[in-house]
Amino acid sequence: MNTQPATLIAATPDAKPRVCGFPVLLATLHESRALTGAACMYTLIIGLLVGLIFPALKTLNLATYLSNGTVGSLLGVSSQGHLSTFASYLAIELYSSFFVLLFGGVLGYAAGASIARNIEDGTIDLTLARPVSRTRFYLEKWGAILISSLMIIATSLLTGWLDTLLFANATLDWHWFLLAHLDIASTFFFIAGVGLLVSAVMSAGRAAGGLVTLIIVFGYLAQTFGTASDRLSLLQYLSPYYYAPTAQVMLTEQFGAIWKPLILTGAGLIAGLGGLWRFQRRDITP
Amino acid sequence: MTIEVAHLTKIYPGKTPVHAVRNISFHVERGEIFGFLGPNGAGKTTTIRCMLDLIRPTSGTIRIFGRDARCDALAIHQRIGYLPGDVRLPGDLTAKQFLARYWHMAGLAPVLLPKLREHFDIPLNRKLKGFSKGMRQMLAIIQAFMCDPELVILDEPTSGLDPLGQRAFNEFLLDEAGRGRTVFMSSHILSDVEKTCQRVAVIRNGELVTIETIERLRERAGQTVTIEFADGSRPEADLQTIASVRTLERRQDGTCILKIVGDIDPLIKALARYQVRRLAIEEAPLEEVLMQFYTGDNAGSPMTVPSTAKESWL
Repeated sequence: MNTQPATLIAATPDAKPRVCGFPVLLATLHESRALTGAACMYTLIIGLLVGLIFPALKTLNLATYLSNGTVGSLLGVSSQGHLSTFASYLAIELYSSFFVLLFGGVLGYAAGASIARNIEDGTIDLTLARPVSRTRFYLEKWGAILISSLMIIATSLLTGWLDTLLFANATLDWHWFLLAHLDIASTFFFIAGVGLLVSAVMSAGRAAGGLVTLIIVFGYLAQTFGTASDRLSLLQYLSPYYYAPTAQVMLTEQFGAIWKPLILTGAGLIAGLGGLWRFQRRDITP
Repeated sequence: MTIEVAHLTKIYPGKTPVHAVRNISFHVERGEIFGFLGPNGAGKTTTIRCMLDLIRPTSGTIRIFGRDARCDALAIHQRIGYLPGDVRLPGDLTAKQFLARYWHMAGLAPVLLPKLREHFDIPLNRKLKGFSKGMRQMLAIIQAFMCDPELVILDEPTSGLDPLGQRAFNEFLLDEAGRGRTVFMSSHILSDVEKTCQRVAVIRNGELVTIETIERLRERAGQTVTIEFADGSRPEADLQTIASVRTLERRQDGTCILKIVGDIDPLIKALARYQVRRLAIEEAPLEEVLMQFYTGDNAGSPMTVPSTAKESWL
């Protein structure tokens, strides 16, 4: 039975493993395209809708609306700031807490499910049986989630630009608009890191995605209750909104402390690296 | 030697730790088709997953192509193909996209794809969600072999294949082994491996029960001899003294059915003293032997001796 080796052998014994491109990253983007696409589409629709109805919105007295502390807590903004500009309406309607809650939730679900789903359906076996290391697999997954984040952020910036282009009086101060997106980026980076950590530990895609979404909801509740009640003020420090108050940046045209988004970024990095450490050591079992 | 597994043990931790594999040792030679048999839950898939570094062994070593299965995983994976036991494919991809994804991951050209398509006829441009179980299995087989790996690890490869598909698979497998490719395949169905494998290992409750050549297994299975005597004689007492006769049964019509393991010559000589009307000798089904290993009725206890000692016994 043991005969001469075939003349055509693609892999030689000492050939260095060389994977073409970023197959895991592309596969992950393909898997999460529906979620990312939905987040981008809703960002575009809501943003353009605000631009469209801005003339009507101007008649609203935002100061009165936000003077109610509960509403402010729910939205994650205060009544201070420039409240009659297009930027302020966009901040309230699109970039308040709901932005992170909705699109962060979508991203968190995608991040949480990214590895766990592949373990659950067994496709990770096919991938890791190829010359793809666990580190590479994990980093490409992380990269895919970060690219999804960037796509949502890019859509958000595009939406702002389209608003200023399409609708009269819809003006934006790009300095604060970009700084607000820096806050979003740090929040998304944190969510991606936590999502990958959860995904590296769990083996069920929906459960892992759901858990990350739950963590984001908890962050939102911590911010809401932490700002609504003095007795619960400590809770807000557990919320990512405290470290990256996106809408507040656009409303007050103040960035606050640079260390706050850096803390969020650092926490995301630690969570992500913790996930990598765990993933390298775990048994891959469905 | 392509695969060397030495004293492999895997315990899944937990409140009640599960001993999935206990101290198993075996080796697979280059160009060999090696069957890994055992009932469901015996530890076959755990062993395979340890070989692929998907699961980390509690103790023991695995060497593939002379390299450590964990430390040199990438270099090993460059040269192997793998078919998982439970194939769940992404339904939104076409078969061609699916295959392209994995040959890109291998960084190798799918040089065997045309040959594989001759054996396994599947529509490459159809979405996988429209594939039947058998078609998915054939696609997974193509995926495992397409880059012409030196070693292919197959977990229950014929699961879901119809008889035509099974025959095509067997033909392809023998062809590949003829080209010097090594195949390690697990199954819980002996007929799957009977036609293709040179040797089989049997695992039960995480322990290696035996490693046998197929020929040796056939010898163990023995033969079934049906004898019809012309003069109504009753030679049971005489026949039962023959060492190779394991069982003897006499039917109401007078026919004797004997199970022979080993030398049949003493039986033929003994029968010469009687008037025999009809004599039929059949190979006993291998499943009977395997069932003995599966159920633990076999005389041999689970083997825990090192592979070298065990295989010299063979």
